[in-house]
Amino acid sequence: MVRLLLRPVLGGAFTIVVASMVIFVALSFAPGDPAVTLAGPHATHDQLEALREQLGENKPLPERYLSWLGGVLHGDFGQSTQFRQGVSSLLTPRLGVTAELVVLAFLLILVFGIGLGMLPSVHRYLTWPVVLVTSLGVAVPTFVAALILIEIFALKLGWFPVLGSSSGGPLDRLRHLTLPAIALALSWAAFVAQISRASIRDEEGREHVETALSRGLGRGQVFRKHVLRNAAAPIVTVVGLTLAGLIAGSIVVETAFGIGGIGSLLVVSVSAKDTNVVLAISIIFVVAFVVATTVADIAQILLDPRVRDRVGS
Amino acid sequence: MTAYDVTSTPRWRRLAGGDPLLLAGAFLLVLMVLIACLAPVLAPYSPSQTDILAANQGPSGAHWLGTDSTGRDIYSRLLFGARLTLLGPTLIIAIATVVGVALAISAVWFGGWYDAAVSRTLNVLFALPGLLVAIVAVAVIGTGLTAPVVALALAYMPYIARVLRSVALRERSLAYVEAGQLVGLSGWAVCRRHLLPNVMPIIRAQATLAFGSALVDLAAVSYLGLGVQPPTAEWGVMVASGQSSLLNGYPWESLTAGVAIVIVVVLVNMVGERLALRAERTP
Amino acid sequence: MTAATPVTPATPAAEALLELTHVSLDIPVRGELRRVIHDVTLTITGGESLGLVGESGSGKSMTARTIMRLIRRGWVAGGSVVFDGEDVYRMDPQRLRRLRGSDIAMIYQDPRAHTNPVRTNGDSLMEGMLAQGMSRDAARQRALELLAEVGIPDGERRMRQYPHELSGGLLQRIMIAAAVSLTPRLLLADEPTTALDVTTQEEVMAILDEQRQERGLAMLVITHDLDLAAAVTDRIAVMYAGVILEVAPSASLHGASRHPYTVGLLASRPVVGTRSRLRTIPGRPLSAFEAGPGCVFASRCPFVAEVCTAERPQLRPMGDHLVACHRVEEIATELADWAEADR
Repeated sequence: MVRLLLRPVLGGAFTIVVASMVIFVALSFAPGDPAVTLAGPHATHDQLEALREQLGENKPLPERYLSWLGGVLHGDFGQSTQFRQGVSSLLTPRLGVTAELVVLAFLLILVFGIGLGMLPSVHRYLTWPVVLVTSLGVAVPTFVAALILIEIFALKLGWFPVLGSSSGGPLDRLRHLTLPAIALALSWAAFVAQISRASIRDEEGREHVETALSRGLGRGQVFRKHVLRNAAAPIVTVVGLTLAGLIAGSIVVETAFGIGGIGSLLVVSVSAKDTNVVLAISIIFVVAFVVATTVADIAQILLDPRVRDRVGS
Repeated sequence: MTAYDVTSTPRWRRLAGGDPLLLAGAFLLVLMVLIACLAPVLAPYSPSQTDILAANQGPSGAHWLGTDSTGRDIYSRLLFGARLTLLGPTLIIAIATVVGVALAISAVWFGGWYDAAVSRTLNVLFALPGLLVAIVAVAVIGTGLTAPVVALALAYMPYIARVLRSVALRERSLAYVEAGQLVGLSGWAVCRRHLLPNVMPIIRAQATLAFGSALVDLAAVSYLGLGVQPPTAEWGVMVASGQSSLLNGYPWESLTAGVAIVIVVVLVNMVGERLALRAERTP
Repeated sequence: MTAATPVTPATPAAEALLELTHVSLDIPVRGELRRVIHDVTLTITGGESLGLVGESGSGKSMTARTIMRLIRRGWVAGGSVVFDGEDVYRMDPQRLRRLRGSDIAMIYQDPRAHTNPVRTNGDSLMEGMLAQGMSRDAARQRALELLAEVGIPDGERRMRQYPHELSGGLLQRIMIAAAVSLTPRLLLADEPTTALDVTTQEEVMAILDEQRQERGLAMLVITHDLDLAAAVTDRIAVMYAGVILEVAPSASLHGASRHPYTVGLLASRPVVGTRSRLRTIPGRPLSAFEAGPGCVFASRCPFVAEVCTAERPQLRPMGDHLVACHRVEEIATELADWAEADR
């Protein structure tokens, strides 16, 4: 069993390493010379050359990658040219902000996504309303949802503040993060609802459900033990995918609501050509993405005994 | 039960298969493309024509959907913006589909280490979220449409390739492939004449569904200011430019552009889902 | 509808455990209701084994589901199903739950499809008993005993395993064990051996029969295999296009069947050793909704007359058989000759 679980983990690690290489190589072609930015407009040619030598820019690509990797493993992501400070110290507080946003959105998705997916099974007449609502929800891009929410709930109704960042206590932070979290969660919750409903509907039609009924089990028991339990596997996969997608979506939401997380920093850094920051944040996103999908893979193996034998062969 | 009489129904009817939602959706989409193409003819104003005195007005007789912060007519900008907003995803999907299909079918056909290598590469590409790849591409190449389009094509390609690969694997073991080979057709001919037509329905369905996502992703890149740049009219750009107006109480630019995006994506998803259902049904 | 219970000639004195009277079933297909069972009238007495034989599409599997009220939303059942004096379709949900399992249990055709693949065999085996209120330990104990009874050694290990690790034959035995674990009084076996290979078929049927005899269960064996039915049942009911055409004691059915369909069915079985051409009944089997107003077999019957297409015949006693045929008396001798032809 341990060997089975090791496979997705190793696969994930491999993917992270290769992805980091690809991103590093790509960004090495980015325009903008950190030496020039750091040294300022009045530096002489010799001073620039010395700086470049110091920064290690003249070394060949593989060597640069390895020294960068070495730094990363020690927690050193280099220097930010925008803010003239270490990238890691720049990112640390912002990571917490992004994490809060993503976790909040994830909870909303779990509750409302899976909940909406289950609803038509309990109340048949809700099928068409749920289908309509989710079809609409999937089509609303995150930034559009953000603006609609701001317009209605912040500007017109005044229930929530417009901007997402706050410096107050946890309750105040929650209030500021509500609209952003909803904006982030909306289309993903709709998607999860669609997949959940389809999966549950598939399982409801299976023959073993009838067998359980014929043995005298009540409808509630049958739904829990034979429908939901079996429908769990595809739902877990999509939830894993969702967490991964939330990470990317946070970029948009943070920008829309003016939240100081790593997503908004990424956008700003691209415009400012602060390559080290772009590199660091991209890698963080990729790692988070891979971890989320790997956890989903592992959950699949644990949930469905048939997968274990298939994977092992 | 009577057998389905194929000969008497006209070809276009058979193609749509009597599915009213599919027909309606497809029709509306085609209509939108036409309107976008005819924008110069249909738009009452030029998309870049400013009029500070008429700035931030709501819908009126002169400006059907109102004006933005510099007095440009939103309706006209929406019509012109449709072109770029629809062109981008089209390019993305075209590239992703061609490359994805080629990779998938060749991987299945040649098998062996080539197939394994392709699978590994696809797995790595899956780990890169589309938006992120687009942003990194912009960091390298610069703003505009080129970087995001190429990046998103690369990001969407694995999804199409993966679906195609599993379908192709299934199809390849079917009898008609062997039959073709026995009759002496070359591998390429078997692919083109027999394998491809049978996987076409699935390609169509997947490509359509991916189109919607690509549209949203590309608009998001423009919204972030990293794609199409203002003052060019494009729906994602319009949502961004209109945000400050929205905060000041003039939401029309952002909301109309946003709603336009939603409508198109809803239609595309509807068509894509019906196509996917039909692809499943064909034996 | 008035329940005019036909007296079963075979066992006149025993009390009926299950009575089906003019049962019908409609299923919605693409918005329209389609008739799947026209008219089924049957009785099963305690301890008796009745075979329900018919081709695919005859409605026999649906009959079993209708008995246990395992019908889906939108399906419409007509007529009456009475179990031990109680109307199944008037039972409240709690009584119905107890009916299923404790009174009537069912064994299905494809054990793999009918077993939850993500739960262990032990879970599946015990779930009915646990639902009845048994303690986990008692259920486990009973499960192990039953596994031994149905001939599965190493019960502990099998209980921990998952369905995909077992063969179809083993899964079917477990399904039988699960069914009898609930101590029902009637067992419905829907094509219990069709999905298995021939040697396994014999074993499973033997186990089924053994269980039945030991516990004095009544049984309804649904099958398309006439020989199988003849071997394990006391009486056989022949079903076609949603209607029962003939009911007779098993032995008597083979030698002296009265309905043209039954005769045709018997005659169309290939006989080992002879080299004659395979006889078939001309035409193809109809589903219930395709049949016209008259006798459902009219379109394929060699003895069809005008009255056959006009009016549907009801089951009438004819010796120790019940036959649904307008012309049963008239054609008796012709039928016998026709049965013997080309043998």
